[in-house]
Amino acid sequence: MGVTPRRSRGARASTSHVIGGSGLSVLPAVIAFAVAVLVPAAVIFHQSLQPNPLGDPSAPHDTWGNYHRLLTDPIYRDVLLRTLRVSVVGGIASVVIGLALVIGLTAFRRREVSSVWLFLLVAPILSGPVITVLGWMGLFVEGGIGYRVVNALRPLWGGTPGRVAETEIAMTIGTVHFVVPFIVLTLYPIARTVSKDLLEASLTLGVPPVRTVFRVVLPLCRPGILAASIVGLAMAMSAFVNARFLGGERNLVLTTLVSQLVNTFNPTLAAASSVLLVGLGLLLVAVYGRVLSRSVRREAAR
Amino acid sequence: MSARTHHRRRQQGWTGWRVLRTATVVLGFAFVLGPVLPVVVQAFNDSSVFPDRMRGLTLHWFTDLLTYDEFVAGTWTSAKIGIGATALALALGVSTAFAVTRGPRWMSGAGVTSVLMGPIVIPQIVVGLAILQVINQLQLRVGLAGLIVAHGVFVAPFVIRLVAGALETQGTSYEATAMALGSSPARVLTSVTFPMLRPALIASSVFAFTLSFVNVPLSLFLAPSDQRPLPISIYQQMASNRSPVLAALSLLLAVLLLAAAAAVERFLRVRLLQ
Amino acid sequence: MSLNGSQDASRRLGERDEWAQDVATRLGSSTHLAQARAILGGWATAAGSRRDVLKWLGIGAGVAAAPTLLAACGGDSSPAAGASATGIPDGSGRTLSVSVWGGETERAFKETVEPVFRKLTGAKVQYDTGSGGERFNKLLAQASAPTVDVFVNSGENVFQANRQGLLVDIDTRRVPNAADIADWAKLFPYGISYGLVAFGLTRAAGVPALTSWSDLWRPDFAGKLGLPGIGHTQMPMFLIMAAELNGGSESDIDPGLKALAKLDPAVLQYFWGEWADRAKAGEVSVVPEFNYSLLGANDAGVGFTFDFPQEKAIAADNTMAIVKGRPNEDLAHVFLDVAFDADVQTAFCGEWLGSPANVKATIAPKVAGKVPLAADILDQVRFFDLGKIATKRAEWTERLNSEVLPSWE
Repeated sequence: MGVTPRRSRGARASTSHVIGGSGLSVLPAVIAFAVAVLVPAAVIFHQSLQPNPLGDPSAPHDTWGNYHRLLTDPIYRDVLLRTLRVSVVGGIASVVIGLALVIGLTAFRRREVSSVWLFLLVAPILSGPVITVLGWMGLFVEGGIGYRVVNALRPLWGGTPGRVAETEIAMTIGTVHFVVPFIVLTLYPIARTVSKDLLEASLTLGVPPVRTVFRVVLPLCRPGILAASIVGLAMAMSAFVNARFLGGERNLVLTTLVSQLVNTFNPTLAAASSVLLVGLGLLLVAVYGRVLSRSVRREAAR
Repeated sequence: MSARTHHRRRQQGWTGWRVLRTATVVLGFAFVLGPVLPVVVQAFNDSSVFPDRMRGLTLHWFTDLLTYDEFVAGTWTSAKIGIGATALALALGVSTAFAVTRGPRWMSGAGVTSVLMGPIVIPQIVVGLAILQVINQLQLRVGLAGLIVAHGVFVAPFVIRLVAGALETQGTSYEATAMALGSSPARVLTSVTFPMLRPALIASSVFAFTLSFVNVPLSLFLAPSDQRPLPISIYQQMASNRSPVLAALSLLLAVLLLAAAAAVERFLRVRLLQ
Repeated sequence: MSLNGSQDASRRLGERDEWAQDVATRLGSSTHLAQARAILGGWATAAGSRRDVLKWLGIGAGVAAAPTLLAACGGDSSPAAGASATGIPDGSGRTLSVSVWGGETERAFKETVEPVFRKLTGAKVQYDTGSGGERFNKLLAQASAPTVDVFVNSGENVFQANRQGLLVDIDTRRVPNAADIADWAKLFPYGISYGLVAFGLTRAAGVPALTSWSDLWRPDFAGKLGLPGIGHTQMPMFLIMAAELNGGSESDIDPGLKALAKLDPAVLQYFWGEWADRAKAGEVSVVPEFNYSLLGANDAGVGFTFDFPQEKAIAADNTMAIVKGRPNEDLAHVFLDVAFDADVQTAFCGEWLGSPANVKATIAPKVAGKVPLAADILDQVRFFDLGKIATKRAEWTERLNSEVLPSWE
């Protein structure tokens, strides 16, 4: 068995003879998603257009006012931009780190990686995000290891040393930490199927190992990278615990904004922010998916 | 591996790769496990402050766990929810994976993918509140069922990913052969397709169960008051006091889940995470 | 050490059980004395009040109870046998659902109020927990069929819940102990506070005593402040204080927003766990915080001191209310009555660390010197118009987000 086989043209032509070829088996999920996602989403959307029942009754109401405010008020525009920044930067960084780990563990190895290593990598999922955030908070305190590392690296992108807790950097690092185990889980099964014979051939042809990784292993992992990127992007965007405790209100992103509004008697603006978050997430995933799947197809055509 | 390649390895940048790989793996593990380490230390630290420097070894945070009966009851509740959610997520995820990998071409496109990823993007706190509103408006008495459905749906995308990957890898040729030899589709499914999918199915079950078991935001609003999932108890304890008992509990949980996964690997003879 | 831990726990449980039995016995008999007085008074004054008396006696049980009640007054009563005879609703086989903060507050209710309530009524208690905001939103989402009987939350959340028509007015005749509750705690007809907490200024060792909220603007504290988060329960009151220091008021909030924007916080926080580590690292030296939270922080080695500013600290009212449209309204009233009992209040506040609202309650020995009596700090705390704040909070939060947060980055 070699490279992850993609469905051949031939198989596609005869879909009706393949089990599941009709695609009808998507129905249960469609129904379940409709019940558990679309109906509540409709409720949220409806709510976002109502006057705030918990606010000042004398305040004027405008049906689309919440959306108008979210898109034009500079502070909420900042929130939107920060959400995009953290999820794109965090999502991509997670994929890079996850990919590096997975390739580091699997490339050029004929023996299977011991499960112990993999389980250690997913340990943060098992202990839950709350407890690991506490760990990060301790590391980012002035003088802590995280504090020192971040401040040592800050000049690299022109930042000035100083407080690390409650910054966008801290939040991004926490988000990446939260997402990486999921990326490992998504990428590992694909990376381990990369043919060892192919790598052997590359080495035999005189290509050095590092270049082999970039020229052979990475291209073969592309479909996995696509899937992992979508998972990474979506999870980075919806991560709450990290954003709440490592970024805080001084670095509001949509999830923490929603939670703040829900808790300050502003359910209608919270609903509008949620709609925006979902819209943004789906859009980003679709655009990203499109770009990546095009590059995968291009690669396949080569 | 031939002697010739060994020779080549020594010659051509092999050290460079070793250094790069070691650096990557060491840094990567340090990053992933770094913030977990203080928690592990704290669980055995003889100090009621969390975090604190090491003041001596103790096991009493673990024995103290037993005096919190909500933790014991919560473990059981979370297990029930996890099992229900896993079953649902498997049913939804497997059937969808078939459609995505074998259905009409448009189903594997970016549009469908993003919709299927939808549950991951939606802020769970908000959807939890909205689901609660819907349930209440319809005057349903759902108990744990509401939570199970919500967890199942929100975990399903991960199952879809894993199973779809396995389906793509195994292709359709074995099934085609079986069919050509006269087996009915149902029989092909039970005796060829599913046995081949077994590792992916077990892996996604473990995965789905774990994700449900540690979920906070959905459970926050949907948990019935008489049955509180474990992570909710932990989360709320954390917001009012920060006893090292919580560190002990988190560690114990992670170890238990790891042990369960290891047991699955050993006794079901599959490798998870493959 | 480790084994003793659980033995200690079980011994404590045993002692608590005895204490709960004593209090329940006393409550059982005192309640029926009070009720007897009320019945006699009720019958004597007006015929119209008879209906009220029956209502107060509880659903169904009241009618049958009335004749036997007077007889029972003279003799002693065992609470189990006397439960229905004294007009205390029979709760056997029923469960009262209480919405409360998880963690320490839940623990305090579980260990002090619940055992007495259970002995008295035979009913079970279950807790629906979460932050104040989460539980308020949950109650709101379940408006058409609420699942909790007793709603314990901030005064503001209780006000909003009532504004949405989700609460009943508390029938104080069914809560005789309410007579001993201090006036400041009787916030609304539908909400009574069970304890007082002060939100004032706290400082690190080495910082001289703080005397005014305006000390926060002192240049030597710039970058050393742990300020309440934008959505903090006490934020609107803090904003009003800032406005008043600068010539504004509750209805002229702009000077407050401008003043807050000039502060330079090191931390924005919602509970002491979020600033404790940073204080220990020396990043934070002045924090507006609750007096009872500081006890927890100091247990964790923070070593801060609490000061009452001359403009007074901000009073925080943790309030109990009864949810409308539930079958356990009778039990809910008993639960409040138990919670407001002087002995129970003493024990409760010993766990919860706030000051009791019952004027006859004392400070539990184990927290003596740490928790003040409400009467002793009453002239140092200020009560705000919670209704006004609740309706303005959404608007003020948005203004804080856009006019203050950018300068806090």
